[in-house]
Amino acid sequence: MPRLLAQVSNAYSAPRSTVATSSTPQTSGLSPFLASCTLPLWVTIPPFHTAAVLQTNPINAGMGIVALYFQWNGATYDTLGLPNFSLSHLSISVSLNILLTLMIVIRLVLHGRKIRTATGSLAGISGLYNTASTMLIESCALFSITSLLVVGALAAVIYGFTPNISLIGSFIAEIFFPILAEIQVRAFPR
Amino acid sequence: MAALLKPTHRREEGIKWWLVFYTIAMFLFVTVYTAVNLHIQSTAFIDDREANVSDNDGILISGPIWYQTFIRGRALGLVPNVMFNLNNWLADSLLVSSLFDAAPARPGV
Repeated sequence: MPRLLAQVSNAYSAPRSTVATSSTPQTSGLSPFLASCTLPLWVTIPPFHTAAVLQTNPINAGMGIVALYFQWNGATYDTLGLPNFSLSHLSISVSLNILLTLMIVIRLVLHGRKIRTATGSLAGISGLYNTASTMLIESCALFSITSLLVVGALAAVIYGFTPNISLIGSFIAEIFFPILAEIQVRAFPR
Repeated sequence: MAALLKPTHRREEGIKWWLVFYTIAMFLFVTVYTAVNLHIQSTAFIDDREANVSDNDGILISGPIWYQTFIRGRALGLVPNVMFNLNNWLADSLLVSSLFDAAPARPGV
């Protein structure tokens, strides 16, 4: 049984592209950087993977910098430059958060199912993965819900039918923005 | 932080100092954010509560919320958002870094 467990564990500890019998790993066209990724193969498909990485570094940071530039030039939530770019920035951030949490949780669920099939135990080892998944989802939910509140308020600023709706939206954004900043530190180094 | 400095699992890997400094940096950014934001709140609601400011069209407006809106383009109003953006960038980068494993897979083990 331990041998079987080790086989199951090995099958998932490395992506299919790097599980190689020879001394030189087969990367099947992927760069070594991508091939060293330990997520399932479909995640390491270059467009998908690159999109996830690109979302964060240049584009998201760029959105934030442009929003700050608008703010520096005296834009407020009443003018459209600042909320437009803040909205884009936060939307990208929250979508990235949900996407990556889903990636990790899907991997955990698949791994737990594989273990359950191999060992036949209902609780025990596979229960451990459920706990880990719950922890990840709860951390993600904190940030996602607060982010969506701010995103909704900013959207009300931009797309509000009357000036009053826009004004209320900007106040709600003011209220939830500091909460969002603190939840980021609480939720991310999970 | 205690778990980072005293790892019970994976002891052979030792303390991951980059994660320690990463966490310290994130807490620093959010502390500066909170402090400056609270300072702006106290200025707007207590010290300069009666301040009258003119908006871009020259219309006289007053009140704490309008004062905060007015101060947002100034350096003091910009600091919290700069800190938020840096923190957001760090947080997202940490999330993306979880895609890559520090110890690459060893074939045949």
